[in-house]
Amino acid sequence: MKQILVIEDDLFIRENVCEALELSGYDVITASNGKEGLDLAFEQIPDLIVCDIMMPLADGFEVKESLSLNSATKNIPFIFLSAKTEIKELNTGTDDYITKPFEIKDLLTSVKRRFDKPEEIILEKKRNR
Amino acid sequence: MVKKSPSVLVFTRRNLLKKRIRYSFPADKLDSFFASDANQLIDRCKKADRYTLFICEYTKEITLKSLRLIAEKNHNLEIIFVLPRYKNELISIIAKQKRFDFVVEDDSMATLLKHKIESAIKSHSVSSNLEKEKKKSTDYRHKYSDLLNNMIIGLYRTTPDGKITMLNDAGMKLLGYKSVKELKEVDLQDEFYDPYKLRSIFKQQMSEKGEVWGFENRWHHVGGKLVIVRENAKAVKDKKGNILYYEGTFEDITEQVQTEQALDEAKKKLHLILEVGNIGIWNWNIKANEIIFSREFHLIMGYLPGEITSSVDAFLNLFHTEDKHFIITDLLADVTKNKPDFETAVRAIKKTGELRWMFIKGKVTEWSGRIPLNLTAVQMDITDRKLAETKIIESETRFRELAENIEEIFWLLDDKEVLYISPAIEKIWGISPSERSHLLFALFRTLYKEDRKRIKQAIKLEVLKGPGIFDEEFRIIRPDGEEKWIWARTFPIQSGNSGTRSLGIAEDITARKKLQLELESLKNQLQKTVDIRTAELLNSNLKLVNEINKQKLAEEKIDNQLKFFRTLLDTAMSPIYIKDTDKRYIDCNKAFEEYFNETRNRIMGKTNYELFPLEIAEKHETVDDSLLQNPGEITYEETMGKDPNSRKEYMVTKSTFLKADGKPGGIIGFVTDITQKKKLEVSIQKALNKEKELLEVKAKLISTASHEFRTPLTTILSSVDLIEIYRKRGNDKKFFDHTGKIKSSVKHMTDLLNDVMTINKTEAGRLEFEPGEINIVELCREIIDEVKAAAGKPAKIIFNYDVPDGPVMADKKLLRLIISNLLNNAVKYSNKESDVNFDIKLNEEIVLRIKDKGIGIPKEEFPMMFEPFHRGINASNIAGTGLGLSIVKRCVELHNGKISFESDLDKGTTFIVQIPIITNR
Repeated sequence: MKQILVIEDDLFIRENVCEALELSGYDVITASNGKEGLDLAFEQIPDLIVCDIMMPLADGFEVKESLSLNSATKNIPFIFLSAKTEIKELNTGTDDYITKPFEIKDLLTSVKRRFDKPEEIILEKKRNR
Repeated sequence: MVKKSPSVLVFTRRNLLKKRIRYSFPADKLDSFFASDANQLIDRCKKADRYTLFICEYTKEITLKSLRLIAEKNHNLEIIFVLPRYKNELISIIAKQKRFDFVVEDDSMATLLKHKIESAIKSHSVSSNLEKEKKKSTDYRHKYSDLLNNMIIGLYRTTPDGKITMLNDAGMKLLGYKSVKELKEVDLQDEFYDPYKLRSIFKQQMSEKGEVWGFENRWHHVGGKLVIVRENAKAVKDKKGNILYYEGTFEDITEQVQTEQALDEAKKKLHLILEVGNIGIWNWNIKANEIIFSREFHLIMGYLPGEITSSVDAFLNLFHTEDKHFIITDLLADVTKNKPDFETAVRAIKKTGELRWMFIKGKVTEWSGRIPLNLTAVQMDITDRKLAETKIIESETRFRELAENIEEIFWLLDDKEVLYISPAIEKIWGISPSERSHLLFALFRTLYKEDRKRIKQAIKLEVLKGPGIFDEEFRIIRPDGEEKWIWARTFPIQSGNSGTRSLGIAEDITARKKLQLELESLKNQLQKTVDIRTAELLNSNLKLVNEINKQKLAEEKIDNQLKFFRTLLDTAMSPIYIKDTDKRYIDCNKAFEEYFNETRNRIMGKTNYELFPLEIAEKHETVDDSLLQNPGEITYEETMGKDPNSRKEYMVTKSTFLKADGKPGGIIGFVTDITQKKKLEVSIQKALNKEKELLEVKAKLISTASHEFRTPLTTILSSVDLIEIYRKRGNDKKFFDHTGKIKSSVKHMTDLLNDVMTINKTEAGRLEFEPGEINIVELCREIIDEVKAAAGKPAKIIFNYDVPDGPVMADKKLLRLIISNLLNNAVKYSNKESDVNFDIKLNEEIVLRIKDKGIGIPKEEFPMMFEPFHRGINASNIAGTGLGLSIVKRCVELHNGKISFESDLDKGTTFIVQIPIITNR
């Protein structure tokens, strides 16, 4: 079972995201700020991280930055939950993002695609061989 | 009136003196009266003719004048003063009075007085017989005078300051005085001495030694001639050493001295003559065959004195071999002819070998019968004279050659006798110079009649005033009938002993005269031309005057224009100035004078550096230089003064003005005071900045707010999605969970909206301070109830108040926002068990204290507490907009109050608000 780490400071959003992912059969762990999220990420090495951007104690960008510096965590796929204003700051090339407010199916589609992507990359690698 | 016995009148006030005087009376009985006061004396003096002698102590009461009166009335009355000691001045005054005798009150007084009295008595007794005899013998001093006067030696007595008091006849004769009276007028201080310093030398010796022996003195005879005397003198002193007078003798040594001097001078002169005249002397002692030479002889022969051996052979060797025999033969010949004199000229050889002509003249000075024993000769070098003679002959020849070859007539005249006339006379005048004797007459006859009178006059004047003034031009008619112009002049020449001669030059100026006449006529022609030109000039002058008048009018016009511009300048409000190309101020208007607080006169001619501080002057200079190089206009701003309050800002516009030739003639400057304008600009800038800031804050608020709205919206949307999922599954519990989330999100959004609106109001200035009378305790109670109701949990608010009765002036709306927000927070961040304390105090100000025991605020977040949308890290699980505290802060500030807080993490927070009371509406 794929494990997903949800980092979100708003209680209701965190609860709803967690519920929606669990209902889809994912193992979900949660953190209410960036620092807590990082601790959990290093401890559990989740398969995917869903992360808010504006948070106390290390924002979403800082979390991503810290994870990319560690070889164990640098390849964990990342999905940002963002308010519209922050979009332009996102690196759209490597990471996915969902704009608040969002529908559950959009979140799930996004998560599913992230999980498929590494396989695609592996497949591509095999082909190259 | 002759008295039988002599009587004495004495005046003194001092008893002791009285006794001393009485003691000096002679042994035989003497009729005397002693007066001791002035009245008594005056009384007695009325009968003064009774007395022979009057002895008087010198006091102030006895004036010389009154005594002189008495003395005049009584010729025979002898008056003797008794003078105090040491009063030299007084003594000298009395001594000058011929009429009075005196004694000095010293040890010798008694003796002297006795003597004087005896003498007076004696003369009194004789006086009855012979008047003449009496005069000679009345005075004791006269007894000696015979003796003294018969001496050849002068005898005198003088006062120390130079007054002669006594001089014997011999002395008077020596000095040329006739009487003692005349002599007493002589003051030795005057020009008696020659030189005068002799007097001071004399006095000095006197004062040093008390006597002078053999002093050679030079005095002036009364007639002015110098008398040289040998003087012996002695100072007569009193006991204390003060000089009373000088006594001395002198004899005339004038002749002796003069003779000595003359002799001395003659000696000197002779020596001088021998030396200067280069005259040597030698003496030949024929008997001893020895010759001695004088010093000068050595010198003429070129030897040092004493160098020539005193032998006859040596002497003869000094002469040219050919001439030696002249000395011997001539001399011997003369001598054998028994002539005592001889003279000859011979050549001598000087030490240097040079040959010189010597003239020797000698004389036999000693004979033994017919044999000469000794001869003396003088010898003189005459080489130079011989040379001079040769030269004279030569120069005369040369003169003749010159005179005879020049074209001018040249003559020498001595008292109208023609000494010489050059042959040119024949050529010019046509008269032979051989007719010398009547030459002048012949010459005169040739003169033009018209010129004769003038020339005669000139010659007369020359005769009268001496030669040298004749300078005339005249015409002659030569014997052959030819006319000529002659110019003749004379010059004086000094000639040896024959007085003044005159030298004349006459030349033929006929050709020159002709030329002159031609010139004259040319000149006349020229004059005419000049006259015509002058007339023309006069004409053009008139035109010029016209022109000048026109110019004057134009100048007036310019002047008027200048005045107009001056008025224009001076009425202009802005300071205006004009500088020349040297950057010196040459004009300015009144406003500029005021701007500088200086008068125009003191500004004119000054440079930038003389008027401004260095920094500003340099700026001016730079601008001026660039303007003068590139004419045009430059405007810039300038600040004067350092103090920001009195600092003045000016706008300076400078432009060049061009002269008629297109070159810059200087700079005109306009100064505008823009201090006010500048201040306005600054305040506008400030307002603009504030506005901009406000807009930025607002933009940020909107952006943040929009972000904040997305959070509850996200919850609502996701909860709705989840509800749909659960509806299919029929999970009612989950359904209600999510509807609750939706409700609370909506409420959060409502709160957010309200708070943003409130913030916006404060930012836009629409939330205003509007105080009114309120019951503060009542208001607080209302709010507490509202907060409790909205808490959604049981809340315990302990309310304490210390407020006097009655209404308070405050803004209810602001207070409500402050209190409700703070109470809401306190309840929200507390446990449901813990209390919230709300204290309110009112004295000088309203003090609100709201204390909770809630989660507290982390220290690092203290500075951000009042920022909009900021939420504590530990408050993320508690609903809130993050705007409450920023609203509170803005309201407190609108109410002119202060807000502060204390907080400990997990222990609680206390907010304190202080709001001033408004006492007067």
